[in-house]
Amino acid sequence: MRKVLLAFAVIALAALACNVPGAAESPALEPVQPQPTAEVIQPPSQSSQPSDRPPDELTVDQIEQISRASVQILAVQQQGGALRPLWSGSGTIISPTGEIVTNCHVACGAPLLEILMTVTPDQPPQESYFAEITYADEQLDLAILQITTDINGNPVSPTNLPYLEIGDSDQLRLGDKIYIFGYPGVGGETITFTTGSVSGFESATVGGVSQRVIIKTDAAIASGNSGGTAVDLYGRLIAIPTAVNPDVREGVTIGGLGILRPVNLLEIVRQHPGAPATSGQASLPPGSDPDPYEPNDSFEEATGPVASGETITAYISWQDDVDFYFFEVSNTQPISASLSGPFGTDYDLFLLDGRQVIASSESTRSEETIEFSPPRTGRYWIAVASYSGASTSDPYTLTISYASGGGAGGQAEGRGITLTGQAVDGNSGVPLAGGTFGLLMPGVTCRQFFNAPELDMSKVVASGQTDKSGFFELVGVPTGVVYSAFFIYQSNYICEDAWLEVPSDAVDSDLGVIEMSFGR
Amino acid sequence: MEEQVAFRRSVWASSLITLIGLALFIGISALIPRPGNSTGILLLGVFVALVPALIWLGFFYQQDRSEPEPKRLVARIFIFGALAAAVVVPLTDQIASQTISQFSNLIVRLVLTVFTISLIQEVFKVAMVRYVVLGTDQFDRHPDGIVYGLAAGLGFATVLTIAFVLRVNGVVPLAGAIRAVDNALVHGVLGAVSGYYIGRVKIDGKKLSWMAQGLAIVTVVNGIYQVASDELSRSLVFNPWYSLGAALVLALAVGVTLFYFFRRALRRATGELKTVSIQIHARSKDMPWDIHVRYDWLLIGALVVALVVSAGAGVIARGQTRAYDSADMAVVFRYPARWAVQTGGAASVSLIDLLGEGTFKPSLTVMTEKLRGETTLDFLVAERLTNHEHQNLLYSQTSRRDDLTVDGNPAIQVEYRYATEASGQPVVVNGIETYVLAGTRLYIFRYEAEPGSFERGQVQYSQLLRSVRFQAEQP
Repeated sequence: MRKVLLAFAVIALAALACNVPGAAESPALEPVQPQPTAEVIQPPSQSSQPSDRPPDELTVDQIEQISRASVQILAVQQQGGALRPLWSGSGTIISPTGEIVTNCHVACGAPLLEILMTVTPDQPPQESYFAEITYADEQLDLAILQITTDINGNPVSPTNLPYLEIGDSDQLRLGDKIYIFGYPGVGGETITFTTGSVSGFESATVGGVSQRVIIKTDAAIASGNSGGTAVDLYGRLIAIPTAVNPDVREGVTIGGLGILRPVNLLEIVRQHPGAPATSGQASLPPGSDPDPYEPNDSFEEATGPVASGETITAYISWQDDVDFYFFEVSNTQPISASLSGPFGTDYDLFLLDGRQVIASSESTRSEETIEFSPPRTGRYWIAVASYSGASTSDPYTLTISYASGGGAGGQAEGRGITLTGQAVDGNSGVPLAGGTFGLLMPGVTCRQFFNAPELDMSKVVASGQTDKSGFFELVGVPTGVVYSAFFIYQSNYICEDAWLEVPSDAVDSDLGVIEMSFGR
Repeated sequence: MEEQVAFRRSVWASSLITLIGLALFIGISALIPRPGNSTGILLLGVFVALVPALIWLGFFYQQDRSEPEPKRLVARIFIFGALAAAVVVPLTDQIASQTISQFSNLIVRLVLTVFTISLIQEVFKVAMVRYVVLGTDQFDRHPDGIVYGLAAGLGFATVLTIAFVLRVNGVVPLAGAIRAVDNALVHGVLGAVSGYYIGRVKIDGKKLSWMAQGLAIVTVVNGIYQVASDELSRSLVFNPWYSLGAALVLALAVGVTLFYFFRRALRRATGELKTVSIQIHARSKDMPWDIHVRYDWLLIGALVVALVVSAGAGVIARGQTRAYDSADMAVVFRYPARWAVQTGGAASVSLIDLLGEGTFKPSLTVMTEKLRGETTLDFLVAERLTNHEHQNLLYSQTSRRDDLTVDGNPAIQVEYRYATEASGQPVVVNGIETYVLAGTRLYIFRYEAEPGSFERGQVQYSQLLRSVRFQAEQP
């Protein structure tokens, strides 16, 4: 099974790699070095400010240069050795040292931010760097990132990246032409360029001043454009594509009136420092208790095994901090996890099975509870993450309850034994792939289990799916019990009462080939 | 009198020889090694399915010497019996897996089996005798009905066995032989009973109630056998001998009873009258009433009953739902009662049809998330779909509808397809997602299943969507 998962992860990774032509030829990815040095996109002439007649169109060179400063941002998650993409958006480099502007909804909450640079407009962007959030404002939905490492994780301090100058969004007038660059996803894998004009503005009081908070445009925008690049006729960044208003859709799938965030709001964003760092060794404010469980920011570093009922007191020290814990269950009785965080924060609780989130609790406060019936025995992870807020002085408490060990037969046994076997159809001698073999809790009969209006999985002590050769594995089977066993295959099931006796001195064993037959 | 004696001898002798032949067949099949490749095992299975019918039919036909039935007519009724099974099997398999399996109570299952699967099977077998031979001059003596009914039943049994072999992708020789003999014994004997009743109707001029009685008896016996055999053969230990024993007991009991009644009927009929006069009556074109038309009505009526009961039970089976009420998710909806809640949390619930078909079990997932900042449904959907494309192999969207509402809220529905793995095997998954913006949350209702069972679950999916009620969020 593990091999299978691994193989699948490899396939998935390969599929991912296929999105990045060039990756195949150079397995060790190298950061894209911008070709000419200091490709500052200059306005045609520094003096050609409002008094001069504005240019009619962007030049071909300008468009290509803007493309280079426009990046794709991929929110990714580290999983084993692989990076799994969670979502994607666009961004704009605004300094030669690697500052990037994007939307908070693109960057905030991402475990890792991968920056993909445009090489040529005909090719998908190339994975080049990782970045961290330096400033973020959730209300304005804007964030400023800083490139920190190359794609192999080595720290970098670039000095000559292509970048765009920031314009003055208050100078925009109705009907002004604007150009949108980005990676909308729906337009394929390559950079996509659309044009339109300023269709309107909306103002609000932000930071005590009434100012433009929204620029509306008729330029086509799709979801992956989020955080991307909107430039004026001088090729200056003047806004960040943020949303699409569907009320004005014109019968097309994606499109309509686009909502842009004016660049002048970035000044306000710079008043909200984001996460100081993403690695565990953040400098904590003096006087606060160090978190005894850090670093536990990934599956590999997870704290555990956490005993059932143990209360953990720890901190979400900055907003991007994610704390991982793991524990082992030996039967499929429900798991419950509860979280209580500091007042005014919004921490969320996630249950993971090593591959993905299988349950979560995401209320608007930091009081979260998960109830979950695990489909299999073995290791599970709990992650605590912040949607908003963080504290190095007020801890959160986390309690995980699960049935550990026996639970069956009234004995507090160890972890139980492992049983393996192979399910074969007696009629054809063919292995039964994709079936589920399971043992019922002592005292539960087949009739009680299968005749119930709802199959109650908490009555299953252990279960395992058969692989394509019919092999299955049951982990953590308590000993000293006589079990009723069942096998579910397609829409059919077999169940036999008191079918398997596991003596109290039993050890891990193989049940061998189980030839079974389904009804007519 | 001659007819009686000849018939008795022929029945006993042929039955005995047939049974010996079948036992030999099973014995030989136990010695045949299981073919190594899958084509071999499939071909052998199909061959094995044909053997019992050939043995039985051959001997019975040989022994019916007093007025041998034309070979061509017997072959024709055999083939029509097989065709009937080919029509019936897909329908009854569907009823068995989709409707009857949804009821766990044994008595309910028995009653439903009798009124659906058994009734359909027996109606089709009787119909073959009725339409293929009833009107012919060859059907002129009591034993004729039994021979034709038996032939129809054996044809039916043969296709039933072949369908089974195909369903399990070939069989071990012994298991296949036993299943073939099972089916031949049961359907042969039940066919013979039907034939006896039809013969009495035609030759003795029995009435409609007699026809109905014949159909009712074979249907009930068929149902009891099917349910019993199903229970007996559903085991974690493979033992085909149980069901063979059940089939043998049933065949002997029904066969002996049939023989007893037949003999009594013959004696009564021929006690005073000459056989010749009966034959004249049977051949007469001016029958006191039209048995053909009455048979038509009986068969149509029975078929309608079977289809109505099947449809009704199907509706009841699918209609059994339970409520999922989540304050955390601020939504209430109803889901199919037999589906198991696999995961439940404050943000998502995942329901799985453990008894659904395929390796990738049909699943329903309801997810919700709080909206971040200013956004739109269109935007959110586009974002999710981009993610799907990134995460799933060969993901492709097959259709999209933007004009839906769920509980009065605007919704976007997307159908898609992608490849994944389940139990180490690649599977194609069909999915449908409905995105709903309600209050301050985005809801996603997702249904996924393998293509083979996808459409069936769609009915339940749309029922679920109709049952959705969004709740006001607690402050």
